[in-house]
Amino acid sequence: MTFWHRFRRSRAGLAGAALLGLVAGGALVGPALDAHSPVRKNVSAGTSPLGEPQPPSAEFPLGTDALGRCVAARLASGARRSLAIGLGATLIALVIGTAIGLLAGASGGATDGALMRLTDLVLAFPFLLLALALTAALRGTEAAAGSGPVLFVLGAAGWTGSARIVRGKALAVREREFVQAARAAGAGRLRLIVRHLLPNVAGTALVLASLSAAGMILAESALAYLGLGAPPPAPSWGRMLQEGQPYLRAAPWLIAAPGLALHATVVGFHLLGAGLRAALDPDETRA
Amino acid sequence: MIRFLLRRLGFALLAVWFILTASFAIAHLIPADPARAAVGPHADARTLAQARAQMGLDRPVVVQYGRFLAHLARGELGRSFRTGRPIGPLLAERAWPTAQLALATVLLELLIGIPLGLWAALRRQRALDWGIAAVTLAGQCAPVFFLGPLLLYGLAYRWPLFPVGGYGDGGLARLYHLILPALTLAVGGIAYSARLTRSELGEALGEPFMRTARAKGLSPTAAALRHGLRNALGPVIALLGVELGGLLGGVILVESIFGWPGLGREAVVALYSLDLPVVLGVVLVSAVAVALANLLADLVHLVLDPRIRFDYTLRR
Amino acid sequence: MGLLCAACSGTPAMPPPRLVGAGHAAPERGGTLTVALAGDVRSLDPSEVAEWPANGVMHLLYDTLVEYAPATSADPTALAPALAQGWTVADAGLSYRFTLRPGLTYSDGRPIEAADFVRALDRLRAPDSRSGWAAFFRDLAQVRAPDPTHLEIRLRAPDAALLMRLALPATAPLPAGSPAAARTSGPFRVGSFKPGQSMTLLRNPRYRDPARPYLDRVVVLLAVTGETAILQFLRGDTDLLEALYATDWVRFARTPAWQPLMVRAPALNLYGIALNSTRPPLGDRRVREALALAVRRADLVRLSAGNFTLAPGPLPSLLPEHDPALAPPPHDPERARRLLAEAGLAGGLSLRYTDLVDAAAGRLAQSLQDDLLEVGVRLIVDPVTPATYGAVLARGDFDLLPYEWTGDFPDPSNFFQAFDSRADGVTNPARYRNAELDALLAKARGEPERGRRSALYRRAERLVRDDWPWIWIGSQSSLAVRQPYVMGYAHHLMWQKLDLRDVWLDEPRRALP
Repeated sequence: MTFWHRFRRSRAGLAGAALLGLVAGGALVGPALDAHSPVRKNVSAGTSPLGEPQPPSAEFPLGTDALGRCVAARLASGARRSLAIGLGATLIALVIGTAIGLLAGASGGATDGALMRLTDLVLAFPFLLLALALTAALRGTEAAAGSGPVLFVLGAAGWTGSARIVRGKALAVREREFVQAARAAGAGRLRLIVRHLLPNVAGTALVLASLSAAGMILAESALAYLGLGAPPPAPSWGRMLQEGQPYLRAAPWLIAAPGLALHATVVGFHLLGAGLRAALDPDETRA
Repeated sequence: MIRFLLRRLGFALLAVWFILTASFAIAHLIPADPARAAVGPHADARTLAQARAQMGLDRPVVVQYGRFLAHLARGELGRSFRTGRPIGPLLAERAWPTAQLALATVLLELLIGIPLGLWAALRRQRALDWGIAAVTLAGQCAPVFFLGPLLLYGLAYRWPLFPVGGYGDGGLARLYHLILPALTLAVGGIAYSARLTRSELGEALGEPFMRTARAKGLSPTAAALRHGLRNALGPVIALLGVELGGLLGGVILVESIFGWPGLGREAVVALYSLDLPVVLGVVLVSAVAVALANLLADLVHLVLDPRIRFDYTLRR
Repeated sequence: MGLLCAACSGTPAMPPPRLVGAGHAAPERGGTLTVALAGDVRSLDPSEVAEWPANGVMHLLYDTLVEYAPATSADPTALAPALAQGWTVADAGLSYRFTLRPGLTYSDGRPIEAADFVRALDRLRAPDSRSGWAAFFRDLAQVRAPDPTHLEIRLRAPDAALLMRLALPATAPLPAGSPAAARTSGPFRVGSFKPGQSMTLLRNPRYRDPARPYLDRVVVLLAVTGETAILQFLRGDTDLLEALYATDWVRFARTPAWQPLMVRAPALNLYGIALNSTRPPLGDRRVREALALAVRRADLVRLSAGNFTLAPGPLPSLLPEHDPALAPPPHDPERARRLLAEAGLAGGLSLRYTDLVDAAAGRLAQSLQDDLLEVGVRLIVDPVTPATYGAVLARGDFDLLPYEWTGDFPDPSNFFQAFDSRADGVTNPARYRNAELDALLAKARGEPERGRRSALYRRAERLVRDDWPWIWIGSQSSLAVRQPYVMGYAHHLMWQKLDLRDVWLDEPRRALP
C-alpha cells in the first residue's frame, strides 16, 4: 500500500488536511479578497466617534479593531505570519532535533549518553520562562526587530522532543539486518546516517513536524500574549489576541476570531499528525 | 538499584546547576537595567549608580556568578531587587499557591478523567470514544489564554458560580477560588487521562485474567473495577506525576490570568523588571521540581512519550 | 457561546449597579471599602515607593508637614498646614522653620517629634541613598530639630517648590528604631500586607483630624489585571473601580444608573515621544518638527475614547503656569514632507521606536507608525520589557521613545526635568541640551514671586516647544467609577483616585431587585 492509500483511510488525517487546507487557503487568497488593509489604521471610518471597534457588518465581515482595521483582513494576514513562524520554528527545531537524535542513535555509547543528557537538560528548563528570557535578551538591540528572535527562541527551545524520538527510532533501525550489513561492510558513521538511518526516520520526523507545528503556533501566541511576539504592524494571531484582551466584553469578536482560528489550526495539525502516523508508522499507531 | 538511583540523583543535581548557570548567563545577556526598575522612574543618575552598587551589579559578571554560587552553597538566595525582601521566604510564600493549584489540577484530571475513561471502556461505543477523542483534542489544543478568560467570563460573571480571580482566605474560600484556574489547566489533562484510561483498560479487558474474573461470576463493571483498573491506572498516574512536576515549576499564563499569587506570576513580574535574584530563585524551584519528577518517572520505570511533557510546558 | 452572541448586538451598555445605599444624608462612620489596584505595592516604606498608584497608598498611611487643599477646593495645588501648624521663610528663601502641631502622635500613641522629620529627610538625601526620591532632596544643605516641636531646613539655593516636595509621603516622620510601617502618621495604619496579593488598612484612631477618616477599614487588592478588576466591580465585590479601559468607560456612560457615579478628572501627567537628538537625522530641528506635524492627534484622542487632553508642549494644561495661548501643532503632512525634503530626506527614512509591552502603548505606536509612513518615515517598533526599556533609555540606542511622566508635585520644575541637560539619559530621554533653557529654569526655580516665576516658565515653555525635542501628545484623564453607596468620593490632584479621607459608606447596602 502506498502512503497515500494509507493516509486516505485515516479519517483524522483527512479532517486535519481539510482544516489546514482551509486555513492555508484563507492565508493565501484572503488578503486578495478583502479590500481593506490589514495594517493601515482606519480610525475615522472603522471606529465609533468614541473609539469603539465596530461589530461585524457587510463591509467588515468580522468587525473592526480599536484602530478601525478590518479583523477579517488581519486574520488572513495573521494566518500567514502565524503559519510562517510555526512552520519556520518547527523546521529549525526539527533540523536540530533530527541531527542530534540521529547522531546519538548512530553513535551509541558515550556520545549517545552525552547527547541525551543534554536533551534532558534542555527539557528540564521551564520552557516559557526560557523563551521569555531569550526574547527579552534579544529585544532592545538593533538587530532584533522582526520575527527573527521569536523563530530563534522557539527553534532553540523546542527540539528536545524530536531528538528523543528520532534517537529511539534510529537505535531500532540500527539493529536491523541491512544496517548491520552495511556496518560490517565498513560504512562510516556519516554514510550510515545519510544513507540508511535518515530515510528510515524521515516518516517519524514528518509526524513529529506536524505535532510540533501545533505546539510552536501555540507557543508563539503565548509569547505574543505576554507582549513579546513578533512586533507590529504585521499581525499574528497571538498579537491580535493580546490587542483584543481589553475588549473581551465590549468587542468579543476581537478575541473570538483569532482564538478560534488558532484553535482550528492547532487541531488541524494534531489531526494531520495522527493521519501521517497512521500512514507512515503503522506499527506505532496506538490511540 | 541503589547505584542507578545515585547516578540519577547526581545527574539531577548537575541538571539543576546547569540550568541555574545557563539562566544566570541568559539573564546577564539581557540588555536591561534592573536598577531603574527597582528605584522607580524619578531617580537621577547618582541614585541609579548607588542602587547598582548595592545590588552588586557594578562588579564583573564572573565575580557576580561566584558570589551567587557561594551564597547558594550557604542556602542564601539574596534579596529581591524590586522589593528588598529575602528570596527564600518569598519563594516559600509563592510556592504554596502554585503547589495547591498543581495538586488541584492533577486531582481534577484524576477524578474526572479516569471515571470518564472507565465509562467509555465499559460502554464500548464508537460514538462515545469518538466524542472523548474529540473533546481530548479540543481541550489539548485550546490556548489557556483563550480558555481562561472564557471560563472567567462565563462561570464567574455571566453565571456567577465562582469568584473572579484572586486567592481567597484559607479553607473553603481557597478551594472556591481554586476551582476555575485548576479547571482551565486541567481541561486538556482530563481528556488525555480519560483517553489513556480508555485505551489501557480496553487492552486489559481483553486479558485472560479478566475472562477468568468474568467466569467467576463478577459483573463486567465489577470485573473492570476490581482487576482491569488496577492494571490500567499505572501509566495514567505516572503521566500525572510527570505533569505535576511541570506544574510545580509555575504556570505563567494561568496564574497571570486568574491573579493567582504563585511562582509563575512572580516569575513574569521579576523577568519584566529583571529582578535577577527572584528570577533565579524561581528557576531553581522549577528545575528542582522537574528533576524530581523525572527521577520519579525513572523510578516507576516507565518509558513515556516525551512529547507529552513538551506539549504541556508549551501550553502553560 | 454567550460571548459570541454578544457580538451580534454591538458594544453593549454596562449592566446597572446591583447594590444601592441606605439613603443617609450625612457622613456615617464605619464600614469596609474594597478597591483593586492594577499595580503592586512593593514595600510599605514610603522612601522605597516611587511609582503610582502605590504612592497614593503611601499617602493613606503617612502624613506630612504640609498637604494639598482638598480635591474640591478652588485651587487644589495650594498647600495647607498638616503636621506643621505654620512656617516662616527667611534668608531670601534659603531657610525654612516649621512649627509642629501640639500633641501629635503615631498610630501607636508615641509622640511625633521634629527629630523624626530630620531622620526621614537625612535618610533620603544621604550620599548612599537608593531612594527613588533622593534627587529631590539633594539640595537640602542642612536639616535640624532645635527642639521637639521645631524643624529647620536650609537650602543651598532658593527653591519655590520646596513646600510641594515636603508634601511627598517619603518625607513623612520616621520613628526611631522601627520600620516605617510599624507606626504610621496618616489617616490609616497597616492591618496586613501581602505583596502581590492584598493589604488591609485600618483607621488610625490617633490621626490628627479626629473626625476623619470615616472608614474603619480599606481592603486593597493588589496587581489585579484590568479584566478581572472590572468583573469584580460589576459583581459588587469591589466598591471602587480604579483602573478601567477607555471602552469600558464608554459603556458605563451608556447606562443612566452609572452616569452620576463616574468620576473623571484631568490628571497631572504628560505623555509624549522623546526624539533622540544625538542620533543624526533627529539632531535637525526641521526633521523633529516634521515628525510632530505628521501626527494625527485627533486619532489619538479617539483611541482613548476622548479621555486625553492634548498638550502643545512640555507642560500639562492643568498647571497654572501653562500658556493657554499655545496650541498643539496641526496635522500638516504637506509641510512635514517639505521640511523633510529641506533636510535632504525627501527619499524617506527609517527610525527605531522602542515601545513597552502593553496593549495601550502598542495601539499608540501603531497609530504613529501609520501617520509617519504617510510622510515617508518608516517606524520600526520594538516592544520591550520595562527593564529593557530602562536600559535602552540609559544607553540611548533608540530614535523615538514613548515617555510618560506622572507629576510628583504641581510645579513646572518637575516637568522641565525632562529637558534639563544635566539629566541626560535618566530623566532627559531626548538628551536635549539648551543652555538658554538651563539658565531660564535656574532663574525660575529661585524666583519667590509667583507672577514673575510664571512668566519665566512660560518663556521656557515656548522656548522648548519651538525646538521640538519631543512629539508631545497630552495628558491622560484619570477615570474611576464608584458604587452607589460610596459617598464623599472625589479625585484629588495628587492622590488621584486614592484620597479616601472624606469617603464614607451609606450602609447598609441593599441589593436591587
